[in-house]
Amino acid sequence: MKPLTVSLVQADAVLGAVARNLDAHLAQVGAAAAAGAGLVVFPELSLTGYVLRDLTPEVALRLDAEPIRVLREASRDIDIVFGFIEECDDHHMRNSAAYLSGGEIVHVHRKVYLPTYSMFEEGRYWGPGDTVAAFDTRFGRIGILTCEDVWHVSMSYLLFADRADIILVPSASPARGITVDETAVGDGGSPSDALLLSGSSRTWEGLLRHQSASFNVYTVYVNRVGVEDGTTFAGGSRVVGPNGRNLLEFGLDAEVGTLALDPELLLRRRTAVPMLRDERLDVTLGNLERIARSRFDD
Amino acid sequence: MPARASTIDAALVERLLVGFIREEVASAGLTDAVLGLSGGIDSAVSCALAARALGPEHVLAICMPYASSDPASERDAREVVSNTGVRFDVVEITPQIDAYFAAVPDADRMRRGNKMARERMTILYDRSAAERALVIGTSNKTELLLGYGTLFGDMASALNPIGDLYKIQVFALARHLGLPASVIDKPPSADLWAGQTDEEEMGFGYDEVDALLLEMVERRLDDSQLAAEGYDPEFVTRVRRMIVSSQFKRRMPLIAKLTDRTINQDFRYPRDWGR
Repeated sequence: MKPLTVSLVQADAVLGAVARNLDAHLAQVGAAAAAGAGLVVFPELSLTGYVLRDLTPEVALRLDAEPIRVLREASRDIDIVFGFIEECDDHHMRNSAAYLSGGEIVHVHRKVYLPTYSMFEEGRYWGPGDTVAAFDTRFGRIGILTCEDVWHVSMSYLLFADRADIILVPSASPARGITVDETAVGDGGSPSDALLLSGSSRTWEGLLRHQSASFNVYTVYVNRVGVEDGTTFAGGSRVVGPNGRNLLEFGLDAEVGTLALDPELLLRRRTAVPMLRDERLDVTLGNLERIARSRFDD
Repeated sequence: MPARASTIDAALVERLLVGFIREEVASAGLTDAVLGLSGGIDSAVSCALAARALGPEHVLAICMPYASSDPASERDAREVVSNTGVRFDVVEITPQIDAYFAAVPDADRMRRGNKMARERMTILYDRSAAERALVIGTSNKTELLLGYGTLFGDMASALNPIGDLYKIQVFALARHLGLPASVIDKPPSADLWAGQTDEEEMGFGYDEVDALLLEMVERRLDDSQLAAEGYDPEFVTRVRRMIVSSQFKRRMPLIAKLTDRTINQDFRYPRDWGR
């Protein structure tokens, strides 16, 4: 990878109000560019809000829609990752995140794992994506996973195998877990353990640090804040270095932070712990095929 | 159950609930809230949270005593008002309650209690319209689960900040918020008649039932697992029956389905739609 200064926009969204959210995006993009960032990352569904339910078709955008053209224009100065409901060519709606650069759409990640359990009902309204792929940018190889995707370790494994240096994780994760058992900070490794965070944010911290440490990648996690239909989004956005340590961590409030990601750290980590070099794709593939066969046979 | 499993991170809960009230009131395009202040701990906590979220001058607390209410209740409510700085009003409900029951003198205590709770609700919603203020709820999770509340009465509100907190957690939050000791230390009561207490009426204590509810609801233990944990099977059965039989109170009225877009079944929009 090359040196990258990334801006994390931990922000609220107005539910269903694409035009208002687009204005907020443009303001944040301008501020991030002025702060010297090369990439600005927004949360999951940043252009629409999250608890859309039957508003989904009303806010869905095709890739050639005007709001996306406006954001593409804004990406001439700074790369942008934002979230939206995509009306795909098959006319089904997907929870998508796009990477824009130089006025073009470089990559669209369609959320693969749509949680449809407990409080979540994504699979009712949106269709799943089926591709996870790293892509080349002017900063190096990047992959995007949206929120729940991270809970399936196969997703980050695939990006690792696809030689991602940086995994971006736009998210809209609600705050849950209020007992001291759940909110207790674990083994440190955090620049700001005193931050007020929900139990669910502590679980997320564990997942993201594990992802970075296992796969020797930078992880940039950008979560929503604000309240929709009684649910508070948990914030807790963070940057984790390729050694699994927190480099930046936000609390529950709206916040924008900019951090320089140093390729040197990636080099040092991969030298010390050459997981990618030693990874045996043939072993993974062979065993996955065996397991898939045995599961079909059952 | 280890104490830590029910001990709340009170600073976090305060932050979440203050944010909830502030943002949902703003989502409704409003700045103010109104709530019933009984002198009990639940409404005291909701009041303190609303005061912190909106500013005390934007919160109207109304004490609505009936002739048989304990006079100490209004005193405690006034303590909460001086503690939180909110606006305050007292509206006696005795005349209208007595006028109604003059025609039905045989009504039992439950009917009278429900009528009083619904009378208070109509006052709150009337003041809500007059003040352009949202009604803040004061029902905790324990009473919502047990059905220990009046449907369309004290259970009615626009926003309920404490509905996901068990009673023992409401006590912990009250202490964190620095509410008056007189409110925290007295036995919880619906205050329908002098000397009434929740625990005497229900036949068990909040400590006892909250410990069980945490296992039964949060951890989803079944009856045999609860017995193995030492819970009296009769108590377990009784509590489970209370939860099941009060389910109707926790849902919107049933709508007979006729079309492809029945409200709340396949016409599903967020509450914060267009806000």
